[in-house]
Amino acid sequence: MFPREARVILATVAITVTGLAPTRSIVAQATGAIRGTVVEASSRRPIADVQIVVVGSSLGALTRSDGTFRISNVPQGDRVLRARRIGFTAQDRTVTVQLGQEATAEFTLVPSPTELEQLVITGTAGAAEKKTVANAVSTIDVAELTDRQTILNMSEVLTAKAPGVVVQANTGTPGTASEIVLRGYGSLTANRPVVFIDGVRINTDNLANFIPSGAGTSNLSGNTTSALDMINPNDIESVEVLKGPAAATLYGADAAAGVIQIITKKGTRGQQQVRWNARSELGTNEWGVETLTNYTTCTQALIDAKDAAGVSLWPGCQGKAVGTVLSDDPLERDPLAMRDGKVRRYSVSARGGGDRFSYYVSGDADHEEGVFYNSENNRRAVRTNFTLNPVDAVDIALNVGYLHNNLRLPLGDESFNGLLLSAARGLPGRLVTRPSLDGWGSVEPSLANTYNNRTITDRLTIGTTTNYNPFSWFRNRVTAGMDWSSGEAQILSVPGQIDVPAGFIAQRTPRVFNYTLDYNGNGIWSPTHALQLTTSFGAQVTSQQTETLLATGTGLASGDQTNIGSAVSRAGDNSFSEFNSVGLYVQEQIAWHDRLFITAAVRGDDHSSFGSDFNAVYYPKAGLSWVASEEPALKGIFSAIHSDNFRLRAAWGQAGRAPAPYSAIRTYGADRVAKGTTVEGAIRTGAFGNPNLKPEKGEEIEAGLDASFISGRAGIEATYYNKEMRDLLTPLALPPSTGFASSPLQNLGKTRNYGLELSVTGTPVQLRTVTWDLRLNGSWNKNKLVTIDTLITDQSLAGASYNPGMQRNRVGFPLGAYFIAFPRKDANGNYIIANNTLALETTTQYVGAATPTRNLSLSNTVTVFRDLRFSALLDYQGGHWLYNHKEYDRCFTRANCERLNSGAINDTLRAIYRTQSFYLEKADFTKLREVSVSYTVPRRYTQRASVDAFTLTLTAHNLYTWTDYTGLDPEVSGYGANQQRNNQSSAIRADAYPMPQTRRMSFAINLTF
Amino acid sequence: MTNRPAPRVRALALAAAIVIPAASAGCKDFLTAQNPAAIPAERLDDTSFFNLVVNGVVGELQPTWPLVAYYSGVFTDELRNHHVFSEEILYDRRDIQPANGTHSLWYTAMQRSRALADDAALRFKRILGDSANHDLRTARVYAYAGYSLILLAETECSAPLSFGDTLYSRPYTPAELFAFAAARFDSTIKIAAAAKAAATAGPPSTLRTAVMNGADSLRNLAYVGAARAFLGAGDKAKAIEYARLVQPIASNNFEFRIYFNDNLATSRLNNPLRDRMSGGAGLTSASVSGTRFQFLDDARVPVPLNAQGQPQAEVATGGSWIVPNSPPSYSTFDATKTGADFSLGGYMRLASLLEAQYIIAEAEGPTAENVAFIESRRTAFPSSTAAAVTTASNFIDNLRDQRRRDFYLDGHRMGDLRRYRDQYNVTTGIHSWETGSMYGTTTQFSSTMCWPLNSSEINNNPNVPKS
Repeated sequence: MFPREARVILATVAITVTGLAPTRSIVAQATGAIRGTVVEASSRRPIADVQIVVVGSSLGALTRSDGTFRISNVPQGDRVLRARRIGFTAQDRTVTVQLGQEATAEFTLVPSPTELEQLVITGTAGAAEKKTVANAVSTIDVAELTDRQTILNMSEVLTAKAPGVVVQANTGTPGTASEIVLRGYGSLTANRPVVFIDGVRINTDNLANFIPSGAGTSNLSGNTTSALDMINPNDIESVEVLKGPAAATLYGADAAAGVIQIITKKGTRGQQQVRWNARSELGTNEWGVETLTNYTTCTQALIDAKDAAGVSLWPGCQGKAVGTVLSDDPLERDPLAMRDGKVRRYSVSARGGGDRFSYYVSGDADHEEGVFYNSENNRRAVRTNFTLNPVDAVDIALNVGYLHNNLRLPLGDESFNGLLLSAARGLPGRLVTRPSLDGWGSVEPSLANTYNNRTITDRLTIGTTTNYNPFSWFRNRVTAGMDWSSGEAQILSVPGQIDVPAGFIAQRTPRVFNYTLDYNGNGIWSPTHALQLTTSFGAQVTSQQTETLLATGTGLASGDQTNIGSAVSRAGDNSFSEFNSVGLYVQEQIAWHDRLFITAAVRGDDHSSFGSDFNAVYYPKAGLSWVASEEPALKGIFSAIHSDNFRLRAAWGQAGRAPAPYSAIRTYGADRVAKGTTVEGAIRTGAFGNPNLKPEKGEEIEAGLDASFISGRAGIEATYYNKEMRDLLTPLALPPSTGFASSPLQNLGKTRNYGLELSVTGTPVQLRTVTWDLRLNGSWNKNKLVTIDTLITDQSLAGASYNPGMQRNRVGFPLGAYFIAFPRKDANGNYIIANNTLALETTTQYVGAATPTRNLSLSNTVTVFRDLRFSALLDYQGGHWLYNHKEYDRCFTRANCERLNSGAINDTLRAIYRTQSFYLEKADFTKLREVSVSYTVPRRYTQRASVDAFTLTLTAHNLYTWTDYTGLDPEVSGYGANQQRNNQSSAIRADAYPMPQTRRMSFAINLTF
Repeated sequence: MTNRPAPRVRALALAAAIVIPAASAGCKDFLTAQNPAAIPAERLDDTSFFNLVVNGVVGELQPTWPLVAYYSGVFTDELRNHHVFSEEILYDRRDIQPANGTHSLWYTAMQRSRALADDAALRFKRILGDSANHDLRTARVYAYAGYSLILLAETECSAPLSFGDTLYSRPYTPAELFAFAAARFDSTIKIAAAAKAAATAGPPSTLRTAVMNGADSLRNLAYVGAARAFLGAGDKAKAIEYARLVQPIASNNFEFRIYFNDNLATSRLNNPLRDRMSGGAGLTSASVSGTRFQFLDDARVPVPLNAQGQPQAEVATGGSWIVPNSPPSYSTFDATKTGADFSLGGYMRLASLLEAQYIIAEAEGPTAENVAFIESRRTAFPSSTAAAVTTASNFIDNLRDQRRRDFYLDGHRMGDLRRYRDQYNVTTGIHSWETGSMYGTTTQFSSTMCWPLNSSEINNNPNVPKS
């Protein structure tokens, strides 16, 4: 239930916005107005959402879809207008405003692949121009993305959009999480970046859903979730990604894995006219890969097999000749198995502003069905961003986002009653206990579809940021915020249902609070015209508390009464954890002629999860950025090579990763024991602890260049990085003989990731009628465990029971890489066969990495006649392997795979197909990730209806996959889900019946008034 | 005017003097996270926690024993496994590798049970001093340590043990583990005797009676345990010596029980065999093994019968396997051939006078008394497949046959098969490890006869050889 306080806040915000949103200025003294148009330089295509500001004032506007803007109440006199838009070079125009008159200003923006003037968030007060920042910052223009495609969650926002950002989907089930890794796995325990929305740190843990793995609440593996995906992409203006310690030093003790900054949409002061946007999207989710065909070869033994009553165990083989192969594809055959899931999305937003305020309000309703009948995700989102500028020196922003999410998950992964597992393990021709089970391995759709696992989550994120600039040389920013989420997860099996036939109900109510308090100050001093010194300092306090109540009831009398109190047996539990962190920093930046920037900083942190014998930790950074193309002596050279701008940059920095809460303390836990017919209290060993525990420390050096050529028609950003993580938080499992079944964290060892990121943009065709833009993002990453404690120089990954021993952390190799024992051969070079499998060597050898080492994405956009746009995104991930457990299970356990039932099978082939390591496969793939066509109806047809823009869009996701991998989808992994859930192990990957990515087709109508 | 800044500076200094220490103190508090779900280790030295510690020791062994009984039953010839997880299937094949995650759970449980018991004994002696030597709590934790060691000795090929501050030890052989177990049982016997003597000297009271009865029970538990340990180690004389010390306590019998509870709040309280054997759809994972136990036609190995009253042939479809019902070591045993389901609650037999008698019989051989005992077991539960009338010549065969029935699925079979092979060189027949193809398949049984250390022990214990 959404709390009363939150409702009051929302109501207050709504009333405030409504009351303060006049469409006309109340101030009209000694002023004029400015109107104008912004078009793209080559195609003359109007550019929407360009931010126009009157420099030195708080006045401004956003361009409409036809590129026009108007700013009222501009004080008379000469005024400088500045136009900014992600992807374009900022441009200034000087206009003279006369009393009561309307001046005009036309902008012709040039695309800028390097965008050196773009403002980015650095952790200090105020945004900084990108050219001053010594490290690479990837910016994703989400507003533009959501304008022309159906984007449902943050995973889709980040997928294949920026080099060095690897998104690995765990399953294709709606509402489930992806793994997001920046510049490779560096930690053995936590690789998830920290995420901020408008400066407020948010929770990205799972939604505390019950893992849908069957048998009530038991946790095997299974699909899980991430609170990150609860964010509504339509509310996001842009996303900035800081990929490593060199960039994230100022974010301190938890930022070694990188930082993702989400900037939501805002209104613009002075816009003075409400812009409404309404969008409706309809589509379907379809099973996008081949289905599974099962086989049975009728042998004489099968034909003869009967039970005690003389009933044939293989009726499908009766009357068939020996050697007849039966086949069946239950997923395809059974109409109750799958559907084309509906995708529905409706959103409306308004943004505007007056002289002293601006606002953005939005509402969004999403409904996404999976291909299984009990799979769906529903989301309702409301956002209000309000900015008040009471006096020139102060602006106060209040950002409020509320989401309500209702997720239903099907049984997944290696769950015995999961439909995918059942489909893969069907035995054609086998006797079944009920007709509906025919061809299915363990459960048929009519039963599997009754599984009811729901998670309802409310999330409220409130942040307020106050900028106070008392002097032109001194800026202050204070951000205070809270990210609060409250959920109710429920599993219900009414008596007779599939999961727990006796009837079972479980409810869990997690509540997560994240608090952020962040102060930053900037002092600017210009001792000479050429030299500018910027001193920044700040302090951050973050805190997270997680509380959970759990209640279960087993044995329900009937499906009519399903409260826990009515269950025969009931149980309850609660949990609580928290961490608190305090950090301080100081930074000095020297700017020389606005083209050479030297930055140095240090940050200190203390954290509640550090050991009692460890105090604060300090992280330094330094960086150099040189805009060489601005160097007078070099301008001729760059002009000769048609370079618009050319920047070299290098950065070095450190950042940390705090241990999980309570890792430092040795504890025992309460337990219970049966004593006769009674139950008494008892204790169990808990965590072994480590009082010397400190954060792991990431250190990174990166160097790169940004260059733009031929008036922005071509650009390149290239970055080399070398990231080391030291003092790794290593769960050093105590041998069981110690009696502690725990793996206390030790600061041991070092990992290294080094690689290259490349982003090439270009406009190969630039005509008045046709424009072709392309962007190629590529990254290559080499990952290695450099050193570790001598005890664990070679250790199989904990929890990887599907592929025991295959994935290992071995010094000198990538984290979680695959190793197998190769088959033994006799003196004649023939395989040795034992137990119908290949006899293997006793030692294992390296095969390959478990996560992609090469990523490439190619985005093409073709614009025809300004209004028709085609875009396509190809996504390649490669250089890695995946264990195809599903196929091994089918061949080894069920013998229903195609390999064993087609063609001539001899003993050697049979042994090969029954050997686990045979199913370790290359997992390189290329996906046609997104294809879209959008058409904007010319304004001359729509303006009579006061429609500013009317756009139709057709989008397809995951249209096709090219791969040699023989499983359903090389991208998904049953174990990735576990990883996300625990936020711990690196790269446990196994294709153990996860749902493949679905193919989504959708149609959208977008109206702007 | 010129003096004005000074008070401001002083005021600022005063404010700073107040604010900075306050902020520091506040910061320190802020950085101390609450943890309501844990007991700090040092609190356990408080004697008010000692009963909880003893309960913890009991609570470790109680769920561990039946789980080891189950998996050792699958590993030997008592059960076969239909679980979908491939690593569980490997128990059937006797192909347990260190990385087998399922095995890791039981290995860890056995070690945890042993270590917590030993740790409790050390703690009691450290805190209580000499009074620990006549405190039944100390006697009890020693006895539980002993039984945990018996589990390790009978199932594992070898096992390291931590003692006190020594975290890492070399792997000990089964013979050494049996010796450690015997030493624990000697401690129990000694302390229980001292506790009883002290109680006897005191004035009559309910507490005194409870202590005296408890001491007798614990001593019997230790006698059976020591006899079992010496039998496993091949010291028959010692085995007989300790087994003969077991005294009937009530109804001319002695049984020491492990208890379960049907409260679902903590699954560790439940009898785990209920879900694995009689739990219903989706949970059933075992059936009676092949020809060795499926058609025994003995109430001690009860299975659901078909409409004709005969043991059913197995049908491995939709979960319709022939799972055994509750055998004699469990409270749910109903002495019929069809039997009754396991339940979540109830108890199982850990040690008994019956076992002591079997130990004496095996160690002593076919004396008239022992032949009569085995014959009484042969006729205790009429069966068409029971062995022939017991004589001196078929004594050992009958003993083994009756023993496998009386102790069906309670954690004896694996130790028995290992002992028969190691001490009697039994390599063929129903009391040997199975060989050849499994249950009509072409898959061969592996040749292993004990469980390896798990990967965690191998990888993380520097004193365990890595090859």
